[in-house]
Amino acid sequence: MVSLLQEIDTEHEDMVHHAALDFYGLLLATCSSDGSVRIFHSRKNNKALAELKGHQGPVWQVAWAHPKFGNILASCSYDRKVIVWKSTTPRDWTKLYEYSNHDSSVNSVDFAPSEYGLVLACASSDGSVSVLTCNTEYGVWDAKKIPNAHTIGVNAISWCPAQAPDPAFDQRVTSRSAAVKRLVSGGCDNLVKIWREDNDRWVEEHRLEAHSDWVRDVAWAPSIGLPRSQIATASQDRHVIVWSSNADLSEWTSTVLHTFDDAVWSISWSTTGNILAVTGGDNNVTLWKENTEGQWIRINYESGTAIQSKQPSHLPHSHSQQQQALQQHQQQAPSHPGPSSDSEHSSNLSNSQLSN
Amino acid sequence: MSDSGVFAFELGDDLATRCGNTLTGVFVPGSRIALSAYRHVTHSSRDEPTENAGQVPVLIYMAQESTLFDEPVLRSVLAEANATFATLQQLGSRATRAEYVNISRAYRSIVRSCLEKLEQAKKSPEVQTDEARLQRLCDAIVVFYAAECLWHLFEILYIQSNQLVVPQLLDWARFHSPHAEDRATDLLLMGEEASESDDYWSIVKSLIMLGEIDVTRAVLSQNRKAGQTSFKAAEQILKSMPVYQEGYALQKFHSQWEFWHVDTERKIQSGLFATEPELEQLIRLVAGDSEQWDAGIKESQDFYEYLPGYLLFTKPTCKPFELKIAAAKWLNRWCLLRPEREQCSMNRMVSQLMDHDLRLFIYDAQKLNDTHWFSTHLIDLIHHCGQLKSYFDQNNIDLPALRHSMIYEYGSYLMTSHNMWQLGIDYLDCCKQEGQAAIELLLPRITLRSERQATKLINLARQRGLISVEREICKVLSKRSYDNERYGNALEWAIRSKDVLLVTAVADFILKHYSKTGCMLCPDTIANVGGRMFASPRLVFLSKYFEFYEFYRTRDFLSASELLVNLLESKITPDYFWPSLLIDSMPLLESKDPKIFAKETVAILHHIETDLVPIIERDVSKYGKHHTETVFKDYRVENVDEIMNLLRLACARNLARALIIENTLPVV
Repeated sequence: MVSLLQEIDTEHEDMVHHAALDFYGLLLATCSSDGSVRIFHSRKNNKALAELKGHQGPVWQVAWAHPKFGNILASCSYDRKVIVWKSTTPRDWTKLYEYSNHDSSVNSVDFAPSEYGLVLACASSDGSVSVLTCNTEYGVWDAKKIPNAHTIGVNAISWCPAQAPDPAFDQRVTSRSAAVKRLVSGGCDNLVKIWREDNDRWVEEHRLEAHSDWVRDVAWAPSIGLPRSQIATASQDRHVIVWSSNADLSEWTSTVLHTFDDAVWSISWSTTGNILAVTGGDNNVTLWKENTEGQWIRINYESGTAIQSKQPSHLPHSHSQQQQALQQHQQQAPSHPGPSSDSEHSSNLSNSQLSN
Repeated sequence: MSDSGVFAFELGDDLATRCGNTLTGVFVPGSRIALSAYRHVTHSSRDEPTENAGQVPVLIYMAQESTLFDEPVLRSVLAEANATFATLQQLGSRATRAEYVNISRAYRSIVRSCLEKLEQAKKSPEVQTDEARLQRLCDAIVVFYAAECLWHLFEILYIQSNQLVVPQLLDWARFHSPHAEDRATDLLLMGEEASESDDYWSIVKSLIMLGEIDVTRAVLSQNRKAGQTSFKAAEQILKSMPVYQEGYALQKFHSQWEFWHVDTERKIQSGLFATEPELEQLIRLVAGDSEQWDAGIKESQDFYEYLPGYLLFTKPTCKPFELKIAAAKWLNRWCLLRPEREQCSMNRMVSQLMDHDLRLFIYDAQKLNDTHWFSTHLIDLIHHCGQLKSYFDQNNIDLPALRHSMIYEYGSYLMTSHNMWQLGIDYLDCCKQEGQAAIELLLPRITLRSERQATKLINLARQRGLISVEREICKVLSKRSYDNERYGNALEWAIRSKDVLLVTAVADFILKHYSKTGCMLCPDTIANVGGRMFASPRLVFLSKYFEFYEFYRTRDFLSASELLVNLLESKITPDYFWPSLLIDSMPLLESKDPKIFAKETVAILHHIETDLVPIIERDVSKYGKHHTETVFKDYRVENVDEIMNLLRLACARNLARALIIENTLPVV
């Protein structure tokens, strides 16, 4: 069963394109077509703590840096700029850096694992990916580009976790050498590409082909101690594909998670990487997890009842279709298919009163 | 479009239902998901407000899987179960059956204690007036009642695994159908007047169907007609009923029971109870009469309520494999007689246990709305006691993998709950590499509310060899202290984080602050750095400079001079600090009683010309004169040119005096 914890009125004047909570889940950042970024306390229904104005167009995405660098937030926009913001208190924000070397809309930003320092990757409609590195000692930023990463444009980018799976499963080494920097990108050429930093340059390490339309989102799953890596990709071809590799990332295989009814726009991994949230054009957000047999199952909370938290309004000239978020089906391990019809509710459990 | 029968959490966001829009969801820390209206954009989308701009509120919804454990009363269930879980891990897989039974009873005791607390909480005034909370408590009672009932039955059938199950099933059924026994207590207190109660016979029959022989005899003995022949005969029948004890010769017991059974039927047929119809019906139940038991079934709440009692009077030596058949027959009978009753999940799960259909049982157990508390702990117990290994093997269920998966998820859930994360670690510790990795991912994300909590987190990380987590937490704490202008703290945490850059940054701040103001920040912290100064060359410099500062402050000028010259020679002086360091030599150089010798004075002059001058020249050419004037200054002088001139003059004077003194032969 799913419950609504909180409803936040962002007070943005137009669509919100992305919402991100900081590392501890305390501050919420939102970005909008109205060109602004707003900061909220995530656990209080207060007004915005701050409004960050600096972009001259819709802001597509925001990303938080690791708290060991302080309160740092990156935003990217249709205006071709990437801005890195910094705050001393949640209400006081200033620009730390502004990057303007893209020729077209910047669609996605993602901070690298903090082990690499303060490093930010940006994906742009000009077809290139930029990797911005901050020398925190001198406050100087350095930019490297991957030109022509994807023809027509790059839609999404995601970093590989820093601690690549160690085949020896030795979690107690005192000095682990930092893994090679890798990131995955998805673009309008229907391709998913894995890039590796090699002596100060970025080289294409793998090209993953399985989608038949534009790739809209990519997400590298958090590492959960297994000798493999997983990447989820979402496409306008209505497929979500989960790519799996071995420990040294030399071979990748694809599994189609599901074919949806409409284009798939975005995907999101849970913190421990065992649940994937999928968003599509069908007005649904579904959650998926892999069972012990390697199959991806939609999670369904059958023990609860459906909750209608708010009635959709019926307006002329608009679709008033029902929205069903978080449909979930969970089958833990028995390979036995669940009952096809199950009308019971928890309240049917009897003898619920103890007399003494 | 959704699968039929799949429940969905529905959200009616106005903006998301507008034409061209949809709904999007992003996982955020704390196992929450942020939902908001979404519109697809491309590089060719026009840069202008959408038609919805300014018309509809733009909302974000935070959703989360529901859990009972937001209720404080239920926290103790988690903590106590955690302790029992830890005990079971210690026992491992080679303990005796009795030890596993004890573990099982410990779990059940936790749940019963919880149910008592819930009942009490439910009655408290503040809950009675809080409708939402009252509902949550009622929901919790339903869930945990079911968990305890099912666990009890599971224990009887699969952990104790006695060959004769009827006596234990009777205990189980009575415990979960307490009404009759409670009412019987009332009747006993009423004495002779009890038989005039409207529900007297109804209660007595319930007692029989629950196998409460002794209580029934006690109630009947108070009846005004107890002295009559029929009542005496009934008492004799109940009293003489053979009761099997473990260790009896089964065949002999069976003969005795059969004789008693036939004798009872004979007495009924002889018309011995004809004058007392209610009493006759009671004795017919004792004899296993179908018609009377059917009447009883029609009054029962659940299919399993009177099954143990029926077995007591028809097949008292029923074995587990026979129970399967008896239960199936009984369920069919019950369904025929109670067609209006839906097959609730409790009835279904009890049936699964009696049918030995554990695969389905475990599947259904995960649907209890208890965040998998019941299913996780039960599967762990099953895994350890090992008695069902062959069952799972035959059904192609990988029990260790199933257990691992459930413990992992339960532990992950606890660790992402901001009040229960400490319990979660114990579960993830049992999950090998994945558990370790999950701890590594989740431990750093626990909100650092205090340094005491941070220390706890750091210790947990260290115990598990998670060096990177430990250091990461230290870095965050250092950065936080720094932003809050608590620089001693920032330095301490930075040193612990072993991050050279961070230590350098904090030390830099302290040194720069000193050269601007003449005030030394956090002297106590710096004084206690000790051997840890080697975390960073900058910290070495800061520690040594502080040592100089202390010598000077306590007017130990010779030691101060020596240390100062060493610092000048050390090659670890940061560029921006050269003016301050050299200016520090001024008072010593100006002293009438030379504190710095000729050789050292020459060294100072050398450093002015080979260190300070080139640094300044490089800086001017790179950043301009204004930058140089800003960076290279000291609180004691206005600009660096003045510094150099004054220094050169001071050195010349000191050199002259020092040379004279050092080269003058002592007078004999």
